[in-house]
Amino acid sequence: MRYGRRRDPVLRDCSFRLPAGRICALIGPNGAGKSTLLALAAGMLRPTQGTVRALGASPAESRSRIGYAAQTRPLYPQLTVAATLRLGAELNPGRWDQEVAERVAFGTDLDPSARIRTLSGGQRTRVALALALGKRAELLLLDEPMADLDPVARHQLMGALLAVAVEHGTSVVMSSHVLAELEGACDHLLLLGRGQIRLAGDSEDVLTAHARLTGASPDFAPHTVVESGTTGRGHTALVRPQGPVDATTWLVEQPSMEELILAHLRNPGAPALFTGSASPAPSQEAAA
Amino acid sequence: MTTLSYSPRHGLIRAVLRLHRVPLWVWTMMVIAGASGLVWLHQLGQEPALYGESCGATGLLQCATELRYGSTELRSAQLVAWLPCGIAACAGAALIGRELEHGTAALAWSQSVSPARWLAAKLAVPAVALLGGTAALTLMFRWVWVSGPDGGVNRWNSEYFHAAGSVGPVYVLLGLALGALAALLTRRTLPATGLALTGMALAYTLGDQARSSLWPASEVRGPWGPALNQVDQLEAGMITKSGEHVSGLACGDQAVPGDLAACLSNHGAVDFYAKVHPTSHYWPIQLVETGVVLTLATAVVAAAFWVLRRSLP
Repeated sequence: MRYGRRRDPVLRDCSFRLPAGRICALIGPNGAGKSTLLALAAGMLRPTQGTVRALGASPAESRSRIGYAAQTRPLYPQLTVAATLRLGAELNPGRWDQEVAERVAFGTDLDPSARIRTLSGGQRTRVALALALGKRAELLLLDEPMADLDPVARHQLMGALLAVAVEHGTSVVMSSHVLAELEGACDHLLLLGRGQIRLAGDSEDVLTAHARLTGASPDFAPHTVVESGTTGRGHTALVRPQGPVDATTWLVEQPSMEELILAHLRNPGAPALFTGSASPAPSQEAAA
Repeated sequence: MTTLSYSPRHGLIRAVLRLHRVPLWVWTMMVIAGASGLVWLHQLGQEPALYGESCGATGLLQCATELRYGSTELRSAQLVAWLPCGIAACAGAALIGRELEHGTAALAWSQSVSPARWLAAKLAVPAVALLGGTAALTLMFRWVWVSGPDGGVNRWNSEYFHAAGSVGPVYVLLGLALGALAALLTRRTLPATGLALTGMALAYTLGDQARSSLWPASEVRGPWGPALNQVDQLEAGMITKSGEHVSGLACGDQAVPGDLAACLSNHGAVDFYAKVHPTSHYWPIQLVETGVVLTLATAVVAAAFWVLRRSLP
């Protein structure tokens, strides 16, 4: 995906599959292409090359089954909160869940007759998420859903989101540049760096596919090294073990997800990892 | 769980109506104000007849009223001819450009409304409102103009041609379409408004230029008479002995004014001629221009949909 003819592509060779029913964290630094990827999947942009498939069809065909909350929280400033929800009901005939939308939008203290232009950033986020959740979508694409929410609202909304997802078996993709915002809620990981997928797969699988080795030798073969360096105790490396790890030569530790992600972002040369069903083969299509 | 059921098509139209409630009210108020003004103008037009005496004789009061009516009528014609077109161009550019600029268009697109349906609704609602309002004003202006005193106005004058005929409302549709296309191209309100108004001015000027060629002109022979003041004059000149039509030859510079025979022989000509559109060509030309502008507006709308589809799935 490329914006403008002369600009570098935002997303390039970005192929992956996302199994249905997962709650996926889309992690990446600023400018990695998270918002572009979500907008493509939601049918807000047409890819300059390649194909995107969502829910087994093109994003345009799946439009009524996809809920999308853009990062900019587009809302009509002149409408009230209640009128905005009514808009959602009118534009989603037969799919709208007013109860869920109201629960997400109003929370504890939001006045239904307040105009959107008078709301704070966090309150606008609540209304935008209410529109996405009220739609009873099969796939929810939420761009930075928790970014401007206070901790209480974050907890409350994550709870509401997970309840909806579990009740209806909804697939969810949530983007963030901070893993901590999403950790605990997500069971699937997509790490995006410089427009390409770096890690994709079940969170557990991705974690167990890596190990931190510390030892005297700087040679970590035959394992794939993601990041290596020297420490006071000798040489340490984050590797993807290829075959059994010799626990007598190395001190073997399980890295945390945070460490894993940082190591991959610091070392763009490390090969991408797709675990299990996340691999784009054989269809070479991104499907969710 | 509450599920509200709305019919999908009406839901979108209702949503667009509610979103643009304020501009729609403002337009309605403008149409009502315009209609009231035209009713007042009609009253003014009926006054001169009450004085009983004609303007040429002793009826000074009648002359003053007629003059006042004439200038007001011209100003009304200009307003009816120009204002709705400008408003339509601005409306197309602002209603669509603002949504693209602030990203609110994505709100509709993420709520089960395809971009093409969204654009169709965003165009249909203002189109109906603008067309209805302009058609009403045009009909009223025609009524005022036809029933008012004859101030010697040439019906082919650009303002009158727009304000009292079927071309007026279709230029409004063209303005809306141009505004929408400009908004989709620039994705910003202010540049789109400028672009749309420029395009509208261009279309207006081209229409004025091309109007006479839309229907084959008639040729009349003989010297210029007062009847020719009421027709669309394209070309006037003399016919030479060899039968050649020479445009632009006139008798304005001859020594004895009025001696047309001497003037003709001085130029080596046998008769005067003029190419004109008589009154009988008025409605054919109105209808042809209406068709041309409508086709143009359709093409611009198609281009707008093409631009939208180019960037969206």
